[in-house]
Amino acid sequence: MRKINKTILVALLIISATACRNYVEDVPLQGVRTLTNTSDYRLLINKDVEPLYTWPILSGNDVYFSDTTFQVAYNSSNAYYVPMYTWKNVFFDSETSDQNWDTPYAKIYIFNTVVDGVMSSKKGSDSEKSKIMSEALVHRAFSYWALVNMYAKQYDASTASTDLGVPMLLKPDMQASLARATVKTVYDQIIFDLKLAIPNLPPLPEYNLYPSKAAAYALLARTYLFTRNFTAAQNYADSALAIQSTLVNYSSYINGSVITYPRSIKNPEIILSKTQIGGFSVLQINPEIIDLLGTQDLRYQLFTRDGSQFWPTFKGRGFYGEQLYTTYTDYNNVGLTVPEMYLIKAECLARDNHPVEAVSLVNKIRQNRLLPADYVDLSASTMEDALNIVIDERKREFFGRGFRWFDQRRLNKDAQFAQTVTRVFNKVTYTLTPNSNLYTYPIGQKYIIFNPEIVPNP
Amino acid sequence: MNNRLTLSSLSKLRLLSLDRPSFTKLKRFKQPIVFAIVLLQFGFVLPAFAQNLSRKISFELNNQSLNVGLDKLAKVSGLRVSYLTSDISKYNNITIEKGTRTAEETLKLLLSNTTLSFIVKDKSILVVEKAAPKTTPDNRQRNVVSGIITDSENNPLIGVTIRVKGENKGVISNSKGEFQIEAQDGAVLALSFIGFVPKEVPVNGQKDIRVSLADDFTMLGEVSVVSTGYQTIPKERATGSFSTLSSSDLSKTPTINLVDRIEGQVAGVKVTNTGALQIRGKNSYSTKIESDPLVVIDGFPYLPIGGENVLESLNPDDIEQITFLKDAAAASIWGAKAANGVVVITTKKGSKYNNTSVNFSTALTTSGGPKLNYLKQMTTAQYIDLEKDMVEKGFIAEPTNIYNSGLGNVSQAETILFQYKHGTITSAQRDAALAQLATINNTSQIQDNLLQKATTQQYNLSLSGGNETNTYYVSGNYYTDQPIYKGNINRGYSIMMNNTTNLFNKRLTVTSGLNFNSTNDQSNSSAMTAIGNTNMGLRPYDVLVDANGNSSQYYIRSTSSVLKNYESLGYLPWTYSPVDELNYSNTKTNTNNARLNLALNGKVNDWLNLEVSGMAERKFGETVLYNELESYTTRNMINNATSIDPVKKTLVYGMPLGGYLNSTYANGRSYSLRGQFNINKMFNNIHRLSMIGGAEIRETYAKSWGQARYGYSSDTGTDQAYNPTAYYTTITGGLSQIGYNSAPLVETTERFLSYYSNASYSLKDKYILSGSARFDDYNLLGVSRRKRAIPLWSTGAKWNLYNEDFMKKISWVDQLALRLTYGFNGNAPRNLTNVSLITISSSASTDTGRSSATIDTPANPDLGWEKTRVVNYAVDFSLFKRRLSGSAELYFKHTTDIITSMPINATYGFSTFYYNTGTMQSNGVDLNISGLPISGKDWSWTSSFNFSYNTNMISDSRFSNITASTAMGSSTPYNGYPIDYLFVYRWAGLDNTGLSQVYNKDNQIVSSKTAVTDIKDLKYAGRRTAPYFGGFTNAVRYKSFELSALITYSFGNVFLLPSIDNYLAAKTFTGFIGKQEDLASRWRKAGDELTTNVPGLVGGNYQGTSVNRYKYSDLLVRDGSYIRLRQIALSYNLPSKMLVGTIFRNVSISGVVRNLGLLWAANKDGLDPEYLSASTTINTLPPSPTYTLKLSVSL
Repeated sequence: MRKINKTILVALLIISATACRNYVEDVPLQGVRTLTNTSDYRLLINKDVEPLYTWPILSGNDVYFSDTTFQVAYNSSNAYYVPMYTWKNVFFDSETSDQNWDTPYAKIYIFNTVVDGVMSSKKGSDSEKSKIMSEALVHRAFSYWALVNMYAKQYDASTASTDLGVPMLLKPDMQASLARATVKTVYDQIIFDLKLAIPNLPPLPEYNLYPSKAAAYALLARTYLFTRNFTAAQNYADSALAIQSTLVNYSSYINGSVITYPRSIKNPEIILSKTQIGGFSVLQINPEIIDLLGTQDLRYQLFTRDGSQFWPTFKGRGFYGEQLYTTYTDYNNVGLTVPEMYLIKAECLARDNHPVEAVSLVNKIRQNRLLPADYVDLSASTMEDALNIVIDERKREFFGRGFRWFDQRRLNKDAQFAQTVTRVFNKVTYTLTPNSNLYTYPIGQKYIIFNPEIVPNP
Repeated sequence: MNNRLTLSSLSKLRLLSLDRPSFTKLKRFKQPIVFAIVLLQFGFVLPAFAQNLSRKISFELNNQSLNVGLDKLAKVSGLRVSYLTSDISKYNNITIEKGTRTAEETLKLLLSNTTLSFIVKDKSILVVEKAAPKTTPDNRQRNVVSGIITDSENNPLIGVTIRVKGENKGVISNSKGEFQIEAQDGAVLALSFIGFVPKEVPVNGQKDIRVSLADDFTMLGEVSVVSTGYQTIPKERATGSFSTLSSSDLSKTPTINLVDRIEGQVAGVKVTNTGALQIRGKNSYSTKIESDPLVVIDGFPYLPIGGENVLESLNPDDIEQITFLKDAAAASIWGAKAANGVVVITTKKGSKYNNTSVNFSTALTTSGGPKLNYLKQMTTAQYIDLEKDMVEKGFIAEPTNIYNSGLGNVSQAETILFQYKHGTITSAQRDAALAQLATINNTSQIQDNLLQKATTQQYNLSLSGGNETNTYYVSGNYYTDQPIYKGNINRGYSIMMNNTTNLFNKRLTVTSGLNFNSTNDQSNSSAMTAIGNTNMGLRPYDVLVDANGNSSQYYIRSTSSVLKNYESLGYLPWTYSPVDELNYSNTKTNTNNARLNLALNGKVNDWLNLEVSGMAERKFGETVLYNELESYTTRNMINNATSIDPVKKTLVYGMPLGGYLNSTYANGRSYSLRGQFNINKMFNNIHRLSMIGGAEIRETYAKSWGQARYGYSSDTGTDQAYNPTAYYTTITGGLSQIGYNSAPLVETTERFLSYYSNASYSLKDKYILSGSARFDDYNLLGVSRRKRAIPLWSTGAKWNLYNEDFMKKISWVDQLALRLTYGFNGNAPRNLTNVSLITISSSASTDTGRSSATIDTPANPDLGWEKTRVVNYAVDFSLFKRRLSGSAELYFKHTTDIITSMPINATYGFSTFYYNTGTMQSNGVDLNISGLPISGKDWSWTSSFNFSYNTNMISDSRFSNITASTAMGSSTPYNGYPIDYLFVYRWAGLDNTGLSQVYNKDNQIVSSKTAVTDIKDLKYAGRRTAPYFGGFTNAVRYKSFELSALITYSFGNVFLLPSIDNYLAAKTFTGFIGKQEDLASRWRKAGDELTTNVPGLVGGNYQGTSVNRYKYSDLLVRDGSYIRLRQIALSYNLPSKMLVGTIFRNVSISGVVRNLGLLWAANKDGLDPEYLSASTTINTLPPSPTYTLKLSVSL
């Protein structure tokens, strides 16, 4: 009997001993996936990394709703967009989220998670880990680039270190302070991240959804352009072009009435694909841009349609973006492209008083945008003329994609381009003077209520 | 001196080492509980068997009572000693010096200074009064009288005490129920036995007496032992809130589903309309925790895998007892999963005192036909009138092509109306055609072709028996169940084997159990779809079969002319017939579940035993949907994926031409392993300590996956390969892809590690203190052990007032006890962790071919359990010789750390975040009263009533800001209101344009054109679940007949009258127009607003708001209270004399009628509030009455 007692006691002891804490800590297959392996992080940055912004597309003066009937209809069906179009200093009430704020920050949480964790993940080579981290850094830099150019003043070297930028979260932390970093800090971080990323990125990506060396150079070029460091901007534009410089002659996309403009992912001119957040069904292009473009320009034929083909209909020409060409739901590309690099380089050359070289780069683009029969070389002899040609070409190349708004902001610092913009909407005239506070978007009241350390914009 | 052995004197009787076989009959008798308590109270204390009286024992007694002395003697010698407490209670202060004597000598010493003597009979000793000294010579002749004692069913009763009245001699009946006693001719024999009505039998010169004892029904319904799953506790020593149901309670309801058998029987236990059990209401509003009670079967939790309903998969006939653990003291031993209460199920075991007993029962149930006229619908003419209105006002667009799939299903009436619009028919032709349609009513065709009488068959066979060393219970069960909708059938069977073996002179007990069950269900949605309001629904004039008996065919995707055109091009037939579809698109579900228990219990000494037990379980289930090529779903799917080659003009199929087979599989395993010690010790006869403690581990693993096959044919069992990402051209010229439709492979593992202990101390059985503690650890990823593993504890006290001396004087109180408990239960979060969780998309990007993932739950470093604090006050009573008994409980539950999704600054990347932050208060009352107004040999009447009240309230000021639209959605917590609140608009009638109007908070009338956003503009209508509910059971027995009725009731909730649905709620309407009667009284012209409240068909921007405000207005709020006659049963037991000479021991026949309908309902709209689904689906039919005939025999 004692033997049995002992046996049972021993059995009990064994159970107690095995039932240690490891039993509940090292549990395989819990039905939930956590970020454990390097491949998990790879999966994370394969997803929805493209959406970047929307409101600047409405705010820029390349878009203009001239038709009064349209204005009434638009005001009732798309009232959501009106504050951005009319440069209000409040976009949303205290309950409503600002999509252009939420979306980049939601992506930043993902990128921060990757940057924070990928290097200590399992089952991946160091080079793969570094590559994933570098991709996340480029994406994060791009998100901050968009945020700081919407919700903070344009970069001015004299005030950048005191101008308020945006909250800068660099770790996935739900408790961090949301106090706004200065514009300079944000720009410095963008540049720092991009430079950190470059060595570990491939020169060209497998798909233009993924960052590459070319993309990091291109974004550096754009960032330096916006800080008015034209030398650096030109250098990085060169670096990007050294890797990717393909321009496609648009005539090859038009075969009679059949249009074969490629999807973003297959578009050889795109260095890094980013898209607007959601899509518009209708955008009227400012008649001034249409005039500038001329009807022979293939961009007119590809990217504009008569207002009768939209709903609500209007008189004029509307922007007909990528999404309308195919059965795919592509959103308009707002990412980095080869023509942008040429134009950055051209602008820097112009500003450095190399008008001929600058205009020759513009002509290089134009040769691919017009049929040979319609093409005429442009030329400039002065810095101002050259700069005008470059900026006009930017208007032609990038209309309907929000670039114009960002250009307006930064070019306000050039007396040559600073001009007052007005628009009439539902019989009210709105005016935007150069360097107006209205060039800086309001930060949603909702976010300020949650975290009062976020100082609102004036 | 009262020698009658009544129940109330039970506690005075100490049967030491009672001859165990005496309880044989109790097993089949109606009181298994009595059996259990006797076993429990006496079984383990003095287990040894009779020894020779001459065995030498060492014995001493130091100034103690005879009672103690006899107990000690029995313990030391292993002898069985019986006595009446009343005989020996006067002998105290007995001292016997330590010495080694024979048992007989010791016994004689003990009795030396008393008037007692002892009788040795059948290895047991009966201590009795010595015969009174004869003062006068007895002239009457003394004979040896022998006899046999049986129960009313002619089974021998063993262990009955037989005494000669007026004398102090007595014997006990033997294992055949026989006895012999010396008695005079004129003497009277007094017979007594626990659980039976005592009886006095005059000898009258008989030599051979045959006596049958009647069941003592006072003990019916009286539960004496409760089980926590870890231990069984005598009810009189339990401090916690336990409610029990016995197998006899369960057997009264002949349903297949256990949950139906529980309904209305236990206070505080509610059966929700989804068939789930809810114990004492809700504790949490979190979506991240379990809301069902934990189910424990034979000591181990039964963890559902893949959302199965645990209780539905059990064979109710295998259940011996169900104990509901309701408060913290009862449930906290289960720790982390006990917050919603625990349902402890004990299965039947064999009896060691029995030869093999065979029980067979069968039940056949059929139902009345479903009553379609319950659904208040328009007449056909009214329906056509509504359609005409809709078409003429231009709210319905005619599908003239295939492009807009949303437009489909133009009805017969609409077709006629459109023909008139196109000018192909004249108005006279139109009116004639509509008038012709209006004469049709398809109700009887639906009854005949799509519905049927529900039938159910159940068969149960069980064998049980055993001997001293081994007992067994084996059962098999088979059922088929055919619901009212044709094409549906459920079948299942189960096998259970329970075995107990005693080894090494009962030092070691091995208990094992094996259970296997399997279900096979087939479901077909054709009938429900036809009655429903989707595009495939039937209009009132849509017949199912034509005059020749052929099934009617309808075009649904577009108009018939459009679709016939495609058919002529070679597309598959595009017609739909509900009758034909009964043969296709069946979903077959098969589940299998095997479970094995094994426990070793070793006795260390008479107060300590150790137990090692384990459970292993495997499950396998599959669900297969097969849409044959002939099925409408497949034909429609393939046609939509078929295009015409522009050059060759041939059909190009985008999908393999054949059937579609989608199977999903769920696989699981679970095991538990436990080591436990049990202490049961009595000190000095006044202190009793009962304690358990142990450790256990538990793992549940589940895996699910699926496979979609195209071009499948069951004839050949083959399917066709396809490329899920290849684009094909659809019928409309668009591009589409088949995609990945196989369910992804998902594996989950849950592990628990627990240490637990429960102890109770009782002083003189009057004052009882209990406490339990449990430390639970659970695999919460990344959560620190401090947060993850929590101690949960409870404590309780009980005062058995009736054991106090001052209560003894109050003769009408049999039992009175007060209880108070306090403690914590936990609830573990699900799918939440302290590290970020990602979801991998089920399909790769078609652009890059790469998979991707998203973070769906961001890391929360501060995540932990939800905790519910429970205080329970209770009183238990039994009065008037147990004629009236019951209990009343009052409880307060406070849940904290409810995992709540709180809004956060989206700048962090997420706009909501889960915190342990919410609180909630939930209080209630449970009341049980049982009465026995009549109790006699021929007549008895038992009655039991239970009442439950449960309320809850969210008390968290952060939930104060709620908008009108959020409150209408009614799932968001709102401070100061219960979680199931209903807010409605305050109806202000229609305006003269047919649009709804409501009052705002300032009592101003607001039109549909004005937004209502403030919660103050709404009215709080009440709770959607009933706070008051319960049941009332009455049973009347006359001889072998018993008639019982169960009434259930529910009070205090509100519901919204389903008034109009599938009605114009936007600018245009597509699909199926509703059939509800109220639609006929819609507003049509100015002035109608004075007589109707149903919004008109006005179109425009505000139609939707108008309809919505009407549907959710106080105008339609109804009181949901009702009283229902749930069941009436009549049973008949064949009298035992009829069975003499047959192989049958017992035969009973019963007839049960269920779902007899409402006795009373607060709403005067003829609606059954219990069978309104939460959504506005109007087509919920209350169950039809069912009729069951049940036969059970035992051999």
